[in-house]
Amino acid sequence: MKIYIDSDCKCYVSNNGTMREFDVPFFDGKCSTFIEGYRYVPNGESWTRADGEVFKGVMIAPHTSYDQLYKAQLEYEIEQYKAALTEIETALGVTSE
Amino acid sequence: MSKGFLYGTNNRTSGGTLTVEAPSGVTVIATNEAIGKTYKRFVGSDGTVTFKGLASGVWSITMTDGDSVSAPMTIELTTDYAISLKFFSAEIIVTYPAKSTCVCSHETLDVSFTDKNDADVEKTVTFVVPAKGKWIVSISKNDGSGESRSKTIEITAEGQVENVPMNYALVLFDGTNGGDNTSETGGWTNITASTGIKLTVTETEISFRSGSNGTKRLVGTVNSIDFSPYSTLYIEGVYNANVESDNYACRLLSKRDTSSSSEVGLRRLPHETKDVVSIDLTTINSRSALWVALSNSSADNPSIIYRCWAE
Repeated sequence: MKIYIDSDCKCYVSNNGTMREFDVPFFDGKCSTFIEGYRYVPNGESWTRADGEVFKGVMIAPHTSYDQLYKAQLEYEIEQYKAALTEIETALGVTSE
Repeated sequence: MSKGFLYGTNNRTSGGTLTVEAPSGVTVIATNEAIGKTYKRFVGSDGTVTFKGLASGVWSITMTDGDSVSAPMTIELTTDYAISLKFFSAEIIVTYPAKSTCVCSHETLDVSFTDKNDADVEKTVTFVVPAKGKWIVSISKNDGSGESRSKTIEITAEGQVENVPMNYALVLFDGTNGGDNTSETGGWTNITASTGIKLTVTETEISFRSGSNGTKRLVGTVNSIDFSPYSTLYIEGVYNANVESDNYACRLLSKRDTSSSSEVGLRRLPHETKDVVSIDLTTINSRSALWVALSNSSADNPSIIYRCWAE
């Protein structure tokens, strides 16, 4: 999954023109909200947390509340499932009750 | 015991009078060691005292509220001089474990505070620190085991408040001291259901191969780990595959399965040279139940862990 990171290693699904692009399998199948709640520290680089702790890449960890990201991803997957189910039903000419 | 630092402004006028603005109720002390003179003035409700006719030279100014004396401020008085004094204070709020002692001490000044917790639960204490600079917060167990931990807190501004959670390290695996902490991990076993996995856990290392080139498989702790008190997971390890890839990583899982939706975080292992790497835990709110997993996608090149712990 192609993602973009800013100078703080925060992930984005689109580039505002200043970001760097990376292909990160960890984010395959993930919704935009989930992706944009994460930080990706590339190989050979580092990111320093507010308390001074240094994290070297490759590190992938949330930068916002993981509970919210998980909820967003779950809702996304439910919508994906519903869309897939509708397609199947349409193809079979049946409808759910 | 020193209580505060003095910060003043210079407002020179004619004559040899020192005017001091200070908190009411304190006593300001002006000392000139070269000529052996010391003068004291009590600060009333107007918050100002004057020292008239001071000789030119170097004067040391302190203030005391009766319990403590501030660190001295040195001025060179040649004409009238005016300064404003206030006590410096900031807060370091420490939450520390049960049956432990906490010490907060300045890196260079002879100032320290001690708090003891004999209870069976963690305790929160507020240290009001009187100076800028580096403060060392240390905890040690009351049982005499010698187990301890320290953090350095930088205080730079008046009124600054720093919350400092302190915990002893949570050791999951230590190849230098006993190997696997099975009381925490429950052991390390396959997560991916595959007979191809080669997993070896000894007292010195955990070594794991997928058993199939290009096929990423997982092994991990049997138990979920409660990382709530900790901010960082550390892993000392290495992998020696020809390619650098996230397939050789330490992963945190919200469920003990191979689904990508269970993956909360990832740290690629060091390539070819053993090193210590880490994962930030602080934004993983529900980290009271996470599994630590290792991934590998090689038939021949293992992912190896020598130590794994959280702080």
